[in-house]
Amino acid sequence: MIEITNLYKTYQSNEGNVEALKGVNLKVEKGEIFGVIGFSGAGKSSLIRCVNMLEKPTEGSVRVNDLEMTELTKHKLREARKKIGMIFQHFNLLETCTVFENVAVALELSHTPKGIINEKVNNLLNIVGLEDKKNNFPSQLSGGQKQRVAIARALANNIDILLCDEATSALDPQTTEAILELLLDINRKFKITILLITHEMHVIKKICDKVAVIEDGVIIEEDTVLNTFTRPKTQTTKNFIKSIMEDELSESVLKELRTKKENNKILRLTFIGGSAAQPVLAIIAKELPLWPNILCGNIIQIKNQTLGRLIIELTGDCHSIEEGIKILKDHNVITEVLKYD
Amino acid sequence: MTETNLLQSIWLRVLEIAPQLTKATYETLLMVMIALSIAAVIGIPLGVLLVITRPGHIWEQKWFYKIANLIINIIRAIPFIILMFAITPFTRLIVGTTIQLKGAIVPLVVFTAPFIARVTESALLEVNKGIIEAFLAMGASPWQIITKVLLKETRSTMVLGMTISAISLIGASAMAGVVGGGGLGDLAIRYGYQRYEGDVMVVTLAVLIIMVMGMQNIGNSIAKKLKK
Repeated sequence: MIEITNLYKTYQSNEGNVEALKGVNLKVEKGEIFGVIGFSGAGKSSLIRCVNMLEKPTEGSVRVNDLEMTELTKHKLREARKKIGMIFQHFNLLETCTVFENVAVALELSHTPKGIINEKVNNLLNIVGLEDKKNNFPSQLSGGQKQRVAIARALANNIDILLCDEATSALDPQTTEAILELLLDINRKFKITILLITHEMHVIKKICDKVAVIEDGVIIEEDTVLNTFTRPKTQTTKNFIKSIMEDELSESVLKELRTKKENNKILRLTFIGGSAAQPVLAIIAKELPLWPNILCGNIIQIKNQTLGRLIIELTGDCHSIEEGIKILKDHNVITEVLKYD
Repeated sequence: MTETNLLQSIWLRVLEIAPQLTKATYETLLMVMIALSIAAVIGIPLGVLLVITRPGHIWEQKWFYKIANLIINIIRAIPFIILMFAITPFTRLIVGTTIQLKGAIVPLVVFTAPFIARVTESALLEVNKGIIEAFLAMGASPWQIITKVLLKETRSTMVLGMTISAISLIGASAMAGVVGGGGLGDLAIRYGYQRYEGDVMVVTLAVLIIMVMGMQNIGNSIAKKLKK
């Protein structure tokens, strides 16, 4: 669907060149919701803007629907762009036009007959839940409603792909939820592939199937969201995960642990989907002379899967602890031994 | 002379020159409207070009932008009274004469078109770059961006800009009276200045003030209606 190969983007300025992208490779499959996460300045904005050529890549290839975007003529590029919707952080609506006109204009651009426009716009406003606001002006709408108008406008020309450039970053948490739900809905109903960039792990967790972490113009990690959450490889990724799932022990708990005399181990347990339903801690406590003690716990929803994370202290003799860890692993619980000294 | 007497004498004089006054008002309005229309036809597209050809915009043309910018600055630097005489060969070339209404229209257009270009330019530059980008992403052509984004979003500001242009034209048209273009300026100069008839001058000024206020009010109310 979208295939980015060896992409470079260098900005020239008076103070010298800035390399925003340094050889990015990325593949987004049809129907997927793919998230790119990075801190500001990491190059994620340049990356998404290279997909529809709002930025011309310095080097490399961008293929969308088997079209090499970097080689299209101006006319062909405009045709290709009509099938790639885009929504933005600041909505970018026409301030002097009503909600209806803002959506209709997208259809006018592709010379849709007047009679059809009316019906189509009403239908689109229905999809985004704004049929009662069609005669309002953007200044009379909330941020979430403005983004809904922008989504309706983007959908107008039967797009295959939707690019989301920090689409929820200007919204409050509740509105963010609602907009993400809408995007998920659109992805399922219309089979629209979504490529989004964000700096919020929450967005990735809520709707994405795959995630790429970008840092300093390079993709440093790429996997399914679930794998990334359970087995993050880089420190940056770990930091992003930490932003929505606290799994560090607090200083006071650590202090107490250090004073303990008994033989113990601190374990981090990760439960995915089915394994979350089994009472594994009860099982090991019952079968072995072990005393599990929960120090920290979290359960989060990753798209449609549950991910549970516990940090426990396991007290008992060395042999039993080894046995206990084995039982945990047998029950598909990802078990890591943590060191706190 | 008491106050009543003064008013009375002005009033009598007004009645006396009423035909000339009406004619002059008509001439001024005619000059302003014709010059404004032609200047707008030249100035608005020029202003649009000044915006879209600048670096980083939708139709970057570095040299066109630089040259157009320079020419406009030069014309705008010349006082109208000098411009009017300086371009007489050009005026003659275009309309065949340098006097009367026709002769006055050409310098008025040359004076106003760059003004309108600047007014258009500053209005269009106010359009948020993000909106233009959103339309580029939707596959809009440069022409569609000009008509459906730039001019549409700024129509209210543009009306105010055209009002300002019309009002500055009233001032310039008074000077054009010097070359026999007629109008209120001509009347004020002939009677008020050359014949020392202060009262005619006062009446002419009053008409000009009413005209300016009227135009500004009309412009404001149209702009308000267009602004949402």
